[in-house]
Amino acid sequence: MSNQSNVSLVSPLGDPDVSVVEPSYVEAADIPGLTVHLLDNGKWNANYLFSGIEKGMAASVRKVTRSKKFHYSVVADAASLAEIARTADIVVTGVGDCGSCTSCSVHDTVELERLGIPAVLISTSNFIAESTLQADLLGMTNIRIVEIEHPIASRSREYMERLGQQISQLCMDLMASPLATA
Amino acid sequence: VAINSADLAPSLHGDPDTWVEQMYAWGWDDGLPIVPPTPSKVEEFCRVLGFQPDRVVFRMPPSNRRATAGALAANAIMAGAKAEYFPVIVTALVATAQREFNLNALQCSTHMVAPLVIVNGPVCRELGINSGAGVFGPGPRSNATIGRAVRLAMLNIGGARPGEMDRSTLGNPAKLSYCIAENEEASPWEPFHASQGFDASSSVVTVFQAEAPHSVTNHVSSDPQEILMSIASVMATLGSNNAWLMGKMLVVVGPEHAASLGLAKWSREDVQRFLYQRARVSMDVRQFGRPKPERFHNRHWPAWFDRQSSDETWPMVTNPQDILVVVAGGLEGRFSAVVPSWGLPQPVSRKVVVDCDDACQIQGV
Repeated sequence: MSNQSNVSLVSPLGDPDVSVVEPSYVEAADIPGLTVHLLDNGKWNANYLFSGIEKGMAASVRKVTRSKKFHYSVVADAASLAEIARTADIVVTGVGDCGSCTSCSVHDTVELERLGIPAVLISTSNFIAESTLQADLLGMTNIRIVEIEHPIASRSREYMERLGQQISQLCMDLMASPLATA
Repeated sequence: VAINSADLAPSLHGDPDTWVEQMYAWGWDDGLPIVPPTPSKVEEFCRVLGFQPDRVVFRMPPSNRRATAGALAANAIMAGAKAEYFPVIVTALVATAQREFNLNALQCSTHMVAPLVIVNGPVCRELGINSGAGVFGPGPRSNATIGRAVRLAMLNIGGARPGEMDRSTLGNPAKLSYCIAENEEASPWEPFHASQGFDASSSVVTVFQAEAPHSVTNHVSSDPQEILMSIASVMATLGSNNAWLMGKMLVVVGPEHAASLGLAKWSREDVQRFLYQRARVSMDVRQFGRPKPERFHNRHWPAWFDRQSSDETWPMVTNPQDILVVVAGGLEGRFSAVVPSWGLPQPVSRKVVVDCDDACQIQGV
C-alpha cells in the first residue's frame, strides 16, 4: 500500500435509507372538534406539565386523552402509536430533558407524523439541538417543538402545571399553522 | 463478494505520511488513528461470514441507518481488528440491536453507559481474547479491537457522536473499547454462558449496558461472607442508576476471591443471594433523609418496597438472579469488580454467528 498514491476506501457510515417526513396540519376551525392525545414519557415532573396542558386545552377541544410510556428512554412500540393514531387527531409528546428521553420522544413524534397525525414535541432548551438533529436523521427537517426552560426535574408541581397551561395554546396553534409562520 | 462503487468513500491520496490526517478530517474516528478500510480488506472480512458487502444486517439507532455488512467490516478494519474477529464483532452488534437491549438509550443517554462485550467459550482461546491478568485492558489486540469495532460502528453507523446525539454528561473511557472474556478455567462454577442456558461448549457473546468497573479490594479475608461483604459495599451506592431504575448489576469475581468461594462450596446462586441480601440502601437514604411524603413515587421499584420504612434496607436489583456473576482477571491479587448498569435495559447473550444468514435474523430492516 505504501507504494500507491491513491487508495480507495469503503464508507463506514452504512446506508441512510431515510424517507422524508412532512408535518401534517389541521384546520384551525376544526380544533374544537378534535381529540388531543398527550403522550407522557414519564420523565420526572412531566405528568404535572401534561396535567397543566390538559387543563389548558380542556375547553378548546372535544376531548383530551393521555397515556404514559413504559419508560422515558424507550421508543413507544408500534402498536401503541398505531392505537394513538387511530383514536386521536393531534398529539403532544415529551418531555425531552435528557439525551435518551429526548431521542425517544423525537422517534415517537416522527413516527406519528409518518402515520399522518400532527404531533408536537415538548423539549427543554438544552435539548433543542439534539431534538432537531434526531428528527433530521429520521427524515423530518421541520419537526414542531415547543421549547421550555431546562431543567424540569427540580421544578415545583405548581410551576409545571402553570407552565403546562401557558403552553397549551401554543401546542394547538402549531398544529394549525404552516411552520414557516409558526 | 464485491464492493458496490456507491459504497466507496473519498480515497486517500498523495503522500502516505498524510493519510492518517486525511482520515481524521473525515470524522470517522474515535480520537485515535484508524486503519484504512480498503475494498480488499472489506471483502476479506465479508468472506469470513459469506456476506455480500451491501447486505443489510440491521438498523442502528439513533440514526436508524442500515448497517450493511460492508459498513460493519469497514468499522472493524478501522478499529484494527483481524478478519477472524469479525464473527464476534458482528455477534456483539447484532445482540445490541435486540429491542430489549435498548441501544437507542445507550447511544443517546446523559449517563456514562458503554457496551461491555463479554465473550465465553472456545472462541476466546481461538482468538486470544484475554480473560486473565489486566482483563479490562489495555490490550491485547483482540479485546481492544473487538470492543473498539463495536464502538466505531455505533459512532459511524448509529451516528451517536459525543455532544451531538451522544449526550453523555461525562463520557467514559470504556466508550473507546470494552471487551473481556470469562476466565472459565479459574471459575469454581459452570461458565457464565452455561448459567444463561447455553451449551458450555458453545461460544457466546453477551452485551451489557455498563458503567466502568468499580474496584473491590479484600486482601484480609478467606471467608466467603467477608469477601462478599466488600463486594456488596461497592454495589450499594446511592449514585448508581441501579438504585433508581433497578435492572441488572455485574460482579466480576477475581480468581483469588473465586477460589475462596469455591473452596467453601459456595455456588453462584449462593453468591447472588448473599449479595442481594447485603447490597442494600435504606429507604431513608434513598429519600435523602427528607420528611416522608405520603408516597414516594418511583414506578421502577417493586411494589413490595415499603416506601414508608425508614430503617429497613432495600436491594439494588429486583431479584437475586439480576446480579450477574462472572469470573475474570489474573490469578494473583485479591481484587474483584462491580459493574453497575444503565438500569432498565436487558443484557443480551447470543451464540457467535456462523454465517451471514445467522447474523441477519432481525426483521424489518
